[in-house]
Amino acid sequence: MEIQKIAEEIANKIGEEKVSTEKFHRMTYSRDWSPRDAKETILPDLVVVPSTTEEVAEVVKIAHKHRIPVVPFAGGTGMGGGVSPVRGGITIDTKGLNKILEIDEKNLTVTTQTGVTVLNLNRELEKHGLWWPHDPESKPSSTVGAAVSCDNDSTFGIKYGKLVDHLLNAVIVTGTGEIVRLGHRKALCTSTGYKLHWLLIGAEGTLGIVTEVTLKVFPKPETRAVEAAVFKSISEAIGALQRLLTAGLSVESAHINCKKRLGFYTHAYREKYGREPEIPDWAEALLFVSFNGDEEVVRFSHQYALRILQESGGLKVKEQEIIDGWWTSKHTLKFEPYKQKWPDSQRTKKFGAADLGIPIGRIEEAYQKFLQIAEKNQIEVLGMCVYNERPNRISPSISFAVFVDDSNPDEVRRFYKYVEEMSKMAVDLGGTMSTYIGDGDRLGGFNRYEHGEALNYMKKIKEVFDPENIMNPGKKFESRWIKPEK
Amino acid sequence: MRIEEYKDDIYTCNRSRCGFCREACPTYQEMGFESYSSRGRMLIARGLLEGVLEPSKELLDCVNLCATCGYCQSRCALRNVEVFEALRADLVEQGFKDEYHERAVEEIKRNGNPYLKPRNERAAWADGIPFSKDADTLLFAGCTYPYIFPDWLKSSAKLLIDGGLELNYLGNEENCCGSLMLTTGFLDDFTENGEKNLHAFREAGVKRIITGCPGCYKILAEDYPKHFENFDIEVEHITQVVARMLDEGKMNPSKPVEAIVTYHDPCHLGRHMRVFEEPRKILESIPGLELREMENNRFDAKCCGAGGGMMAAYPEIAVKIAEKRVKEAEATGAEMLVTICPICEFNFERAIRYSDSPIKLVDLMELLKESL
Repeated sequence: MEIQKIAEEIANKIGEEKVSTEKFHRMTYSRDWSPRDAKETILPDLVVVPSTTEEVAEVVKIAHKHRIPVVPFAGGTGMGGGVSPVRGGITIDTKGLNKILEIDEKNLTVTTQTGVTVLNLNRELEKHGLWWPHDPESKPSSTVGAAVSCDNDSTFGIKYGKLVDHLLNAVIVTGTGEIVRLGHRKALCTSTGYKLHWLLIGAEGTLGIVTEVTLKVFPKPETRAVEAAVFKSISEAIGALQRLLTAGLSVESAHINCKKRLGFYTHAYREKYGREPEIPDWAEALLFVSFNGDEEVVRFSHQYALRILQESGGLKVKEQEIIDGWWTSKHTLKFEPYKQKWPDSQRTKKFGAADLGIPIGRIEEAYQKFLQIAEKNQIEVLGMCVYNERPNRISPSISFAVFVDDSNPDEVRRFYKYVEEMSKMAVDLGGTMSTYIGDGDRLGGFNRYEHGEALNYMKKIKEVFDPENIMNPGKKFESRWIKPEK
Repeated sequence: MRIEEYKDDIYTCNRSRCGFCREACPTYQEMGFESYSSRGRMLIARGLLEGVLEPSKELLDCVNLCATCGYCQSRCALRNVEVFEALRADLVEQGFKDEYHERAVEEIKRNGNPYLKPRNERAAWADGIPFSKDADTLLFAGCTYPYIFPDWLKSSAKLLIDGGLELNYLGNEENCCGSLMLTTGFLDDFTENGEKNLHAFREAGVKRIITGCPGCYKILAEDYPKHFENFDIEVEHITQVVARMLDEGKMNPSKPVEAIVTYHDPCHLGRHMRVFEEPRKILESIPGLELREMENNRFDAKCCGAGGGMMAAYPEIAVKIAEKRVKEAEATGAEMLVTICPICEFNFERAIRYSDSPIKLVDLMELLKESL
């Protein structure tokens, strides 16, 4: 059926102001933040901006009737090509679903439509003395729905965890246009049935569109202290972090950076302040940590942590500006006006990453392999950062970041070769090939290397939710970039 | 195409995709599609550069639905507003023109102002003001004050002169600064108009310009030096001059004004030109006045929605944007919404009326005058 007729059919259901087939509108839904040829243009056939679950259901029913793809698009900041409309079809901009439905102070939950950005949700929660401590760097732009669907990282993961620790309940529109509620309402745990709502975490819209969620929220702590120390090795920094946790400290955030990433912080300091930071040459790793809570507890935690860090071989970073720079970049995002970090640092090349989960004891080994694999593929290394994403434990979600010249299609191809080899390395070390980006249009099919027979079960699960394979096709089970092992 | 010059900015946005510009963009909030945000327009610019997109009336509307408030730019590191102005200029050159913008531009060319007012009435407000033809400081009145708010202009000119300034004024020979031409893409007209102004300034021996209109101020202080070689005239906004007079004790607000007020930073004065503190200093100098800041102020101030040709071409959307800002002002508990921009004031007046808001719109200089 002609796309214009389908657009009219949808417009009749949800209003014509929410539907467009204009090419210039479609152009603005053509990509996310994933590395791809700077000139690549893959357009959806039409774009809709529904504002209720029922409207989403109407759109999907029509898509199901005509067997055309439905691609959800939220913040558009993903690194895996998850929103790329590789088979055309309907892009649903979920940011029209922007109502916060209930802030329940007594039960410490929030129920919201999923198009609300993480930052805007927290602005509203703050008025009630609450916060949702899911804190991706993309929070001014990325949405609650994307946090669920992409299972991205949070600065505060080591204290509050990932979406699996927050998601209590969800409403989705399945691939047939049915509206289904999943989860355990406002209860914090359940032992009945299957935890189908957990399947939505990281599903990237392949099972349906998540339109409403209920999340666990927290009273906002009074104060915070942020600290940093350098170490002679990555292993030593990991050991120091383990000591903090074993000692019983409640660590709010903990990031371990390699020497190359440390170099970016010292470089920025040198550039901005015109002096050399007192970081010794032997420093191979940089650990940032923060503590939050009541002032007295934070003060004690901070002092006690400093003692442990020093006993564990760490040297406190003296330059407060370096610590503040990290905190700005990871949490406050209060960049100097007109000097925002993301565009400023990607003027010639963009960031790309392999996002791997590596067992704690093999991180040093993985780091060495990272340098070799990047060199082999002639990809410029940006550095490694170990984020920690599950409560009260070292729980590495590692960014092995590189620069990609997206004006050079060959370099983009080499980047995906790099991702392929890094992913295999992670699985071979007993880890996982993705911890915060997701499969997107890069790992599908190739991920059988990790999942084996389980991938067939995943396909069967998808068929239950989306029998016609219209929900974000070309993702999770197929890839444009990395082909499955023969 | 003029956007060729901004290729690096366009592709940098294309590869960053951070979207930090999007959520607070006033037109994106109204329209809902990515295309109305800064990063959306950057992708549209890329589409035009690569020939993926063709210009059209619909595309022109999308590009024109931007108040050039610069919020996006302050959250970025690129020349966003310049890119959009270049994009508009390309569309105009290719024959895609908004009819309201075109009519206003023709009026400026004919009568020196966009308001369909005769040129010979421009200086009617200035009767009895002791201007001096020999002074090298020029009062640039702009178009909106003389025709729409002449009393403001008269008392403000007196205030400056009473503060010890010798001022020249070009009278009916004064011409629009060309802000509308530049921001809506009529670049050739802007250049021609600007050259005319430059000639007049030179003929009059102008070394310094003082203006009360943030739009004129931004164009004269920031854009004239970019577009016209050897433009070396110092340009100041009236709030900068008055704040200095307060510092120097040349002005002494002493009559109390018992009121709670909030201040709206006009985009062209605040975010674009970073004049944030002087207006606040003036407010703080008035006894009895309590200033309560809106949630979004200074660099984060929300636009009134009228700039960049929006009021001329899309008045309904412009007023909806203003209504949101009025709500934000109300939330402070202030009785008065104070600002200093005739365009903002024009739009806020409508927004307050349409939304039946209890807040009173007051001009900053009027408030100061009440206290003197």
